[in-house]
Amino acid sequence: MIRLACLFQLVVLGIALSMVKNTNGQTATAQMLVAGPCFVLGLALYGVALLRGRGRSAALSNHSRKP
Amino acid sequence: MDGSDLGPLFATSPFEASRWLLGVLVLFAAPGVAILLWGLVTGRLSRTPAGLGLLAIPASVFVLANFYLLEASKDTRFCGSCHVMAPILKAALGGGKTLAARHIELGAIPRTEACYACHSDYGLWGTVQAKSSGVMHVVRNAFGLYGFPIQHNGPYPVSICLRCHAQAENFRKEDSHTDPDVQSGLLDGTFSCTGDCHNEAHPEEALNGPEGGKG
Repeated sequence: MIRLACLFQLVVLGIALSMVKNTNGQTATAQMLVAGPCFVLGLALYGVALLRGRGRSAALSNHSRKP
Repeated sequence: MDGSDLGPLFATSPFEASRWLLGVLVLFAAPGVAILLWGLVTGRLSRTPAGLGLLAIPASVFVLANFYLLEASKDTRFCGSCHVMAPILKAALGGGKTLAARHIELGAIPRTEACYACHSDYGLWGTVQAKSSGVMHVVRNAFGLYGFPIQHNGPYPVSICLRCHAQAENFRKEDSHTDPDVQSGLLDGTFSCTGDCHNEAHPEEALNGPEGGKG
């Protein structure tokens, strides 16, 4: 999941850098439409990965406490 | 459009980002790319690099790139690249009696920044307003939130015309321009320069869209 999050943010960075060579309104629209959701998805995926990681470590510590 | 067909004397290069901006963008983006590639290969990221690589760096690079894009959007070619605006730009550059065409033909406004010259008000706040409404144009274009005929959002601010015309002797000599009623009507937006006294800014068929209102 973290891999996917990194991939999405790499896409955002790639789009942002490609904006510097753009003077076309249609392309700018497409860039914004792709980069915005990618950014949010990347963050959301990392958040989910963090929560899952916490859940897993909590489960492991509970398991180790059992007699 | 840019005059390059007339020879190098008339050619104007499209807007390009300054090398400083490019340098700053690359400088900001490089650590982000490194962190993200590391995360992509190893499949793990601790909190600080994750905060930088997943949030701070992409957000700041994207904001910086958008600053560039807003500057580039001053270019007439940027506005004309959307199919909704293309007929308006074509009509303005094609000559004729409309105000936009006359201003461009006479060289009163630069061809390459014609839209921005007449659709941005005085000062820094005027620039901010013009650019924020430009962003809204992009959003409306993306989601099809527009209708024909295209209309100016609210009364056209006469201050944009006065920026140049108020200084011209011919404008000052004209009786109707010194009439107190006309002046107050123009300043409070009751009526505008176009319509009764001067030609429309853009031809009606161009405002009706690429397919004359069927689009």
